[in-house]
This record gives sequence, structure tokens and C-alpha cells, in this order.
Amino acid sequence: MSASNHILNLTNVHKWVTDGPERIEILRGISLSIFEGEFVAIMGASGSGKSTLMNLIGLLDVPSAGSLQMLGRDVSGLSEDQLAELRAESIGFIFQSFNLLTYLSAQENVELPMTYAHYRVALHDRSRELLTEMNLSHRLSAYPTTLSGGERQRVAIARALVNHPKLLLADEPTGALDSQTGVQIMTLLSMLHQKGATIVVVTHDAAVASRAQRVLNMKDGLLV
Amino acid sequence: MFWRYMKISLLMMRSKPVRSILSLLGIYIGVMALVLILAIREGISRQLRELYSTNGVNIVFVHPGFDDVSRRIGHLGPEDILRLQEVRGIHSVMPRAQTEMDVRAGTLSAHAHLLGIDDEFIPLYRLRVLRGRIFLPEEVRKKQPVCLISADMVRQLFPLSEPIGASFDMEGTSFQVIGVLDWDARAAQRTSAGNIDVLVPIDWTLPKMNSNYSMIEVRVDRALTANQAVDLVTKELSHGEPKREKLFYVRSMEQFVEKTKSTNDKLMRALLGIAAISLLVGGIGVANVMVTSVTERTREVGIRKALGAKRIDILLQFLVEASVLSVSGGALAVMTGALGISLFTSFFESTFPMALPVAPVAGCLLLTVLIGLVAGVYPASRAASLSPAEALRYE
Repeated sequence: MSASNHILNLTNVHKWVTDGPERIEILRGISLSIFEGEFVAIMGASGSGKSTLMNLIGLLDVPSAGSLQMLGRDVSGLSEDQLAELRAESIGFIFQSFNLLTYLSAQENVELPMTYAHYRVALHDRSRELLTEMNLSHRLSAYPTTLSGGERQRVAIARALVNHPKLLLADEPTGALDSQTGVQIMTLLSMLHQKGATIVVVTHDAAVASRAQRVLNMKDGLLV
Repeated sequence: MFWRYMKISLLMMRSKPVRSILSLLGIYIGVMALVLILAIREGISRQLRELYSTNGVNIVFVHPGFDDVSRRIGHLGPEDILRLQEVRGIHSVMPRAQTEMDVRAGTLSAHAHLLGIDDEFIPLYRLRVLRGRIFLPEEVRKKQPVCLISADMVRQLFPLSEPIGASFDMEGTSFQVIGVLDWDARAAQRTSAGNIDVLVPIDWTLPKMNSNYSMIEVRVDRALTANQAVDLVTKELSHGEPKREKLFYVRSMEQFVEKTKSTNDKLMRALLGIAAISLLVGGIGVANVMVTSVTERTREVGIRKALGAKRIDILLQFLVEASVLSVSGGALAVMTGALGISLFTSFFESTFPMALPVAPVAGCLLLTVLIGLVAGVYPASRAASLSPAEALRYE
């Protein structure tokens, strides 16, 4: 067991893909700890391996070698469904392109992770409460296509928060927004951090990274 | 969870209406064909049942038979009637005898087909008496010169005058008309007597010279099945001697109805097979649409998995979707089919029978659920096994 305030612990993590006889190393030995209440930015150019690292942190993928512990639990032996369960309970995703389901309303989008985590109680109350916090109480039944970019990202943030995740993982959260809206979203994330949320943001934008307490730079599959 | 998937399925159908309708169409046509064939089958079988249903007894017909081995011909006479009448379970026995005569009333004349009957015959075969009354037992017993005539015969002999109570001449004997009968095609079929114009007490039509009957009608209690009734009559006529059984040809009306029904059923089963094939093709259509849908929604699968969906969640979602697609086609076909059939029968009921049998139609709907599930298995399992990281990258 790691220390209780460890959310995430990566020890000498490698990730490679095999292309015929060739093995392409994407991550070449990454060690990293994320502590409870931290705001961490991971920066790097495209091709640096930061997307792959984000997939590992988000439990969307598992390391080829090395150990990754989420809340003290090693993920290497977990089945796909066990990973899904762990994701539902512990991680909130915020994507660059929002990734809302267009045929569901804002409220239904927010409730989606709850249905997978089998939180049955007060589904609607919880989603309404979160959307109200995001100043979207008037758009509960609006469909994503009728929302502005900023509104969409705020719905996505509400969705990320709905299961009380241990870690908020944001992948270029301002990448699809104009600069002013981007600032608003980052302010929102800073506020969540002040309230105690643990946040990892993956970005190539220095202004976004500047919000974080700790900035990690990636290059060629390594943290530098 | 299930209702959520149902809702998603309906949302998907609404968002891609043309594709959904095209994939429904295959199932729709298949189920419609099944429904129509089932309805025709049910209609024919109901009509047969109605046509040949008699009041209270099973009818068994006996003809003299020919035994190939002993080269003997069976003989049916008055002693057989008496014998059968004594048997427990046999309600009554009547020889069947028909003849033709020239009839004359005043200046009008006609050629008539006569059938001799007893007093039970008309109610037993549920024949419709339009006017007047049926024979009294003593009129039959005492061979009274009374008769019932068909509506057709009324038109020929008494076009302008009152037939009830009137008399007419049949080859030297004057008969009094006591009733008018509706002898239509159904009556002809139900009684197996064909076209009959005049009904007289049985003794008038029995052969005068010899005492050989060409056919007798045995009415057996309903407590016995048709086969038991046939066995009972055969045993009694052959005096319990198996080698005499060949001398009589015994068949029940019910056996005849069943045989007609089963001939009809064979044809219907072949048609059902063809309809089932079209349903299969419809299922392939659903599978095709689902494969396309899964490919298009790869990213959605990625999002759902990132948000915590397990394999089973994705699998169920697409299975429910395929089933909803398939069942909608089936339900639509059943609804429009039922509507069409009820419209059709309200216009053509007597000439062409159709009726929706509930259980087989419910079976059809269940079948569409099954088709949806089978059609959905491959696309759904493909979606369920997508890797979340790759699916999220899918554009």
C-alpha cells in the first residue's frame, strides 16, 4: 500500500506497440506520483507521448511494463470490466471536444456515468445540482447542439464530477474554445481545485499549464 | 437500465428515420406475410368447423364396402339399423335415401331432388326453416304425405300463392307443404346431400323392392371421440368379427373435416416456410443496419466506456437496439395486418374467411425479438470489444 494521500503512482512505466517485428516505444520509463488535492499539468509537443500517458492515467489503457497504482491498487492484473468499474468510481474525464452524446439532453449526459456506476439514488437531483453549480440550471433539457462551446464544456465538467471522482483528468480542456471561454473554463477548474479536487490537465498550452501547481514536461516518452 | 436502452433505441430510430424504416421494411414484409397466412389458415379452419358442426352428436356415415380377399360385398339393411339403435352410445340411426321426381302443382311443374329424413334431421344439421315447421315424430313414423320444400322450389311451384298448407303432386301422391327451408350451399355441404328441393319422411324415399341401403347415418353421443364412434359402429356391424370389418366403409364427419383441414394445413405450412425465409432476410437487414450503426458510433462507444460502461452495458445497448428495430417492424405489421384483415372481413366475410389467431401472432412477435437478438449479436459484441482508448480517437 502506498501512502493514503497518493491518488496515483506510476513506477517505471513503459508503453510500447508492436508493428510486425518492430517494437515502437511510446513511453520509456515514467515514474510519477499524484497526490490528493494536487493540480498537475502535463505538457509536451504532439508525439511526446502525453496522450498515451493520459490514457494510462485515465485507466483507458494499461502499461506494457512497470506498475501503475490507482488508489493503491495495481491495475496491471485487472480485467477490462474491472478497469471500467474503477474508471466509473474514481476518474472524471474532461475532453477537448467535450464528447457529449448529441441525442441526450444536458441533464441526461450528466447522469450517464451514474447509470454505469449504479448510483441509483437521486439521479436527477444530483445532475440538477451540478448543472446549477455550473450556471446551467436553465439549460437542463437542452441538447448539446443547441449549447455554446463553453456551455458544452461546463456540461462535460458536471458529467466528470457526478460520481465524486478522486481524479479529474482534463485533456486539452480549452483546445476547442475561444481564448475568453478558455479562461473561464480554466478559472472553473482552479475553483474546483481550491475546493479540494485533484486535477491532472494534459496540454500543450503554457497559459493552461500556468494554472497548475506542478508542471511536468514530456519529451520522447520521458518526463524531463 | 433496460428502459434507458429502449429510449436510446427509439432516439436512434428517430435520428435516422430513413435507414430505420428501410431496415424495418424487411421485418415488416416478413411478419405481414406470416400474419396473412396465419389469418387465412385460421379463417379456413374456423369456416370448416362452422360448416360441419352438428348439434349434440358425432355423425358417422356407413357405406357397404367390398372385401378384396373374400370378394364379398357388404350389405346394409333394416336389421342393421335395428341392431345399431340398441347400442349404448348410439343416439339414433337413419338410412340415407335420395331420389328424383317430377312434381306438379296446378299448371306448374318441376324436377325435384328428394331427401328422406327423420324428425331429428333438421335441428341436428342446424338447417334454417324459413317458414312453417319441421316433421313431427308420428308424421315420420306413419309415413304421412307431408313435406318441406326449399325456397327455390317455392319459386317454381308457388310463385304467387301461399306455399304453407298447399299441396302438390309427386308421381301420383299428393303432398302437403308444412315448411319452407333455406337449402343453400352450406346446407348442401354440411349434410353431404348436395342440392335438395323436397324433404319427405324417410319411408317415402327408401327402396321399395330390395332392402339394401346405400348409406346409413349413425348419430353417436359426443361423449365418444370420432375415432371411438367409428370403432363402435364398425364392431357392431361386423358382429365383432375382424374379417367382416372390410365389408363396411365407416367414416366420421369429423375425420373428414380433419382430413380436409390437414390438407389445407400442408399447403399453409409450405407458405409459412416461404414467409419465414422473407423474415430471415429482414433479420439480415437489421444486422446490416446495426453493423453500420456500430461503426458510425465507435466514438460514442469510446465515450461510454471512458465513463465506466462495461462490456455487458455496451452489448445490451446494441442488442436492445436491434430488438427494438426488429420488433417495431413486427408490431407495425401485426397492427396494420389486423386492421386490414378486419376491414377485409367486414366486406367479404361470407366468401373469404380470415381471422387473426392470437397465440400464433404473439409467437410471431416473439420471433421478431429473437431475430433482433440474433441479428444484434455480431455488431453488439463488436462494439463491446472496442478498446476505449482507440474508440475515443475514432473520428
